Amino acid sequence: MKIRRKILSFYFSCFILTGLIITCGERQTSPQSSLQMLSSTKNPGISSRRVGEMEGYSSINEKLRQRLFDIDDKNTRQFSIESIGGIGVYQMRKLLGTYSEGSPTHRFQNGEPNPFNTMLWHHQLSTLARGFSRLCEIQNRDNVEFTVIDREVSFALHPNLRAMMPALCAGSPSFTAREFWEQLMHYEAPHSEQEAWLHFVDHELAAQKDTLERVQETFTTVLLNPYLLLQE
Amino acid sequence: MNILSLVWLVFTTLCTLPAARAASDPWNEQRWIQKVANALEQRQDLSSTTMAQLMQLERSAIVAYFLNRDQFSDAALAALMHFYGRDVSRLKAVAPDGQTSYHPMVWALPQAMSAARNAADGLALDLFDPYPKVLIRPPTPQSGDADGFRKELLRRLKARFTEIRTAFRRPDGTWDKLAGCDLIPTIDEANSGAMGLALAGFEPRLEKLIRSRWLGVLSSEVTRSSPLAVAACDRPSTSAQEISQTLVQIERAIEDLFAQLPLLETPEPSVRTLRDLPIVTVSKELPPLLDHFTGEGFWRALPNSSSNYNRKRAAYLLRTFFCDELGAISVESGHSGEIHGGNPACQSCHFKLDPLAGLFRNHGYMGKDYTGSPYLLFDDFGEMAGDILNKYLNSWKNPDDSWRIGYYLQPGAVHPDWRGNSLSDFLDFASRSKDVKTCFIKRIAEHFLGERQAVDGAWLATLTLNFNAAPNSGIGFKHLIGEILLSRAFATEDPDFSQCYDGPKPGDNTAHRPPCAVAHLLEENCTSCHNDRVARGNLDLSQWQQREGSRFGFPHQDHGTDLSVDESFDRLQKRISGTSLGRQMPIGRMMNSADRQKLYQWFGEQKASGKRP
Repeated sequence: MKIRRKILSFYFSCFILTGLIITCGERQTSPQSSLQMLSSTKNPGISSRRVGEMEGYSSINEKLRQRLFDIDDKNTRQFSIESIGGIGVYQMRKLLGTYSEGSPTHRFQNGEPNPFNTMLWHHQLSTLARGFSRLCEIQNRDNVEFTVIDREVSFALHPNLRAMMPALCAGSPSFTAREFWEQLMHYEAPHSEQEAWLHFVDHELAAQKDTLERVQETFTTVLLNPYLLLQE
Repeated sequence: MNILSLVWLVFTTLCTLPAARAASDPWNEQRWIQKVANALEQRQDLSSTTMAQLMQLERSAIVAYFLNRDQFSDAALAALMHFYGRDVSRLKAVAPDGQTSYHPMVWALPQAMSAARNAADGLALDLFDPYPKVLIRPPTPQSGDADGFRKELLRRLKARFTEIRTAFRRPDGTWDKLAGCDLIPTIDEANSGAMGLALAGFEPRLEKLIRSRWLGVLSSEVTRSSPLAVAACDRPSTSAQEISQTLVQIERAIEDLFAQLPLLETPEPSVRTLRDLPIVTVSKELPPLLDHFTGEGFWRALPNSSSNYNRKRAAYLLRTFFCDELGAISVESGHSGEIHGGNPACQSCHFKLDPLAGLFRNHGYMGKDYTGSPYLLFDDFGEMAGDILNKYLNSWKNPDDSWRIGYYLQPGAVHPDWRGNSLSDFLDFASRSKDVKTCFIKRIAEHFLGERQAVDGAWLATLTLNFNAAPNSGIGFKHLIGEILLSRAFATEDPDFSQCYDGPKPGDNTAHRPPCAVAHLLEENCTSCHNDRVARGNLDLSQWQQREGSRFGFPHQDHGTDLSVDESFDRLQKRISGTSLGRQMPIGRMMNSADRQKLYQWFGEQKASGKRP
């Protein structure tokens, strides 16, 4: 059973990843994002799509800081994705979309989505999502801190997220997926995209029995959404 | 901000800007508000409560809300740094304790910080002020007594400088005439006199700046007359009295600087925005503490060499201040000869590169000014002296001994408003230049809309007019950003980059208007002679018509016969570059090089489009 879930999880990740690549790679020609593909039958009229480059290393770090962690906590400003994936990620930041260094004018480079940088983002953000899912193993969630893997720095969750976690972990009906989406995505995606994701949560994720995988995928499917990762 | 400025800003923001509210779709309105907040560096402040309140307002009022917050200064800095071709995130630092702050002293183009602060305060940008305001993180005293700390620090500094001056005074009251080698330790002593500022709570970079900019004057005093001889220690030296006078100037400037710096009682000052940084003005008796062309931001990033001279720096000026990307275009040579770049094939870039490079002719290793020096050391450690140096300097001279230096529009044709031959002359020109202002507006639009987004030149011209109409450039800049955020291009979700969303004024006749990429350029430079009433050369550049199948082109005839689209664009390309078929167009009109490149390239693209399958 465990193996089956692993396989399912792998296929799901591949599906998201492939969808992201297709969405980004085809750009003008592909009308739907990965999540739109998931529920295209529900929203057949979706025509909006994100066509820009990756927002890049700095911008995504800033988004994650502001939306996932408590901005009043002094450690939050130190958060960056290499806190999760290790210093190697920082060394590879140029592949994630950065402004060129060492020249008098800065040019944004490597922002064009390609299979490799999409894979890197997928790896980083799914690792981050897995870290969040492990919070569900903590019994007392009144004062949850998210502890990163390879550094002795803990990051306090955003108050809104902290309040949502118990219900999310418990799979309780009191978990409001809409608020969760808005916390992570804000208003950067069209309404139809949110509806597609909510449909996916209600019909696909709800059936997922493994708590950790369900919570991880709840995070992953928002964090990997092109509307969060790509510029307009 | 004075009352007049405030009234003007509120009036123009609330009344004259188009309020394109799309209240029928609340989600879209929230998305737009989010996008505005992101663009103005205020995404973290957009709570659900604030969003709900903003949803009750018109779009123009929403933009005004964001523009009038302190955080606007950060957004202004980001936009201004984009004008300079740089990313603002490199100016920010996150301390180990998590505090975010701007670099206490910005090495790269500090004018942007000063101008951003001016814009936030409703003052003129003064982007080309050679003595910009210095924005510095408040120093933190080690002891609790801030005032006592300041006095003690200044007492120690004055004592050190006095000690150095006294060392040169002979017992009989006269000044020693010191050899060059003896002065080197003197300068070292002065430097050590300034040491300890960082230890005493001041920013290390302040100490570095004082050393390199002000105490560097001492080095110039010593080395200016005969730099080569410094190493040999066998030249007539600058007098000790001259050194002493300079020391007094430096001492006064430091004292004045520190007197302006507020000392904070708390050990870790919180700098949330640019407006939290205290402003310091510096003495104009000495070189500016923060130069427009800084070491890290300019001289080191764009080194010169004894073979390429300063052309990299000239290319930077063209790209940054004139939006000239040095695209290839064939032009006729204005001169030829032994001068590098005299070959007609190379002239398309060199006719403008070389005269601008001449601004840096006296700058050598690490940007050091060698004016008057008998030799010049380049960044590649190549040296010039004697006849070779004279030949190098004379390469920027015309036969009548006048300088061939400045901003050239065409080979041999300097801009009519250009005066002088120095870097300060360039900054003076830039502050007045219409071309620089047009480029500035374009870059700011580009910052908020994306570099790939097509914009109509007519819209940019309208933005420029409104910018000019403001009481001062700072208010105009704020209003400019407001207009861009209220544009259709900004409001459009996932826009088509090739489409111009904001065009000519409503009511203008746009039937048969050429594509937005060039329409305004043609209107400004060509259609007065080539229109549907006066079609000189049997060419009408005001009518964009379907010509051959799905291809579009302009009505263009030769001896009563319609030219094919390919032939028409081929001729247009040749006439704009002026390589053949007659005089270069437009006749009797100064067209800047960047616009000429754009037309040349576009004509070429239209010609090539017919060859695609």
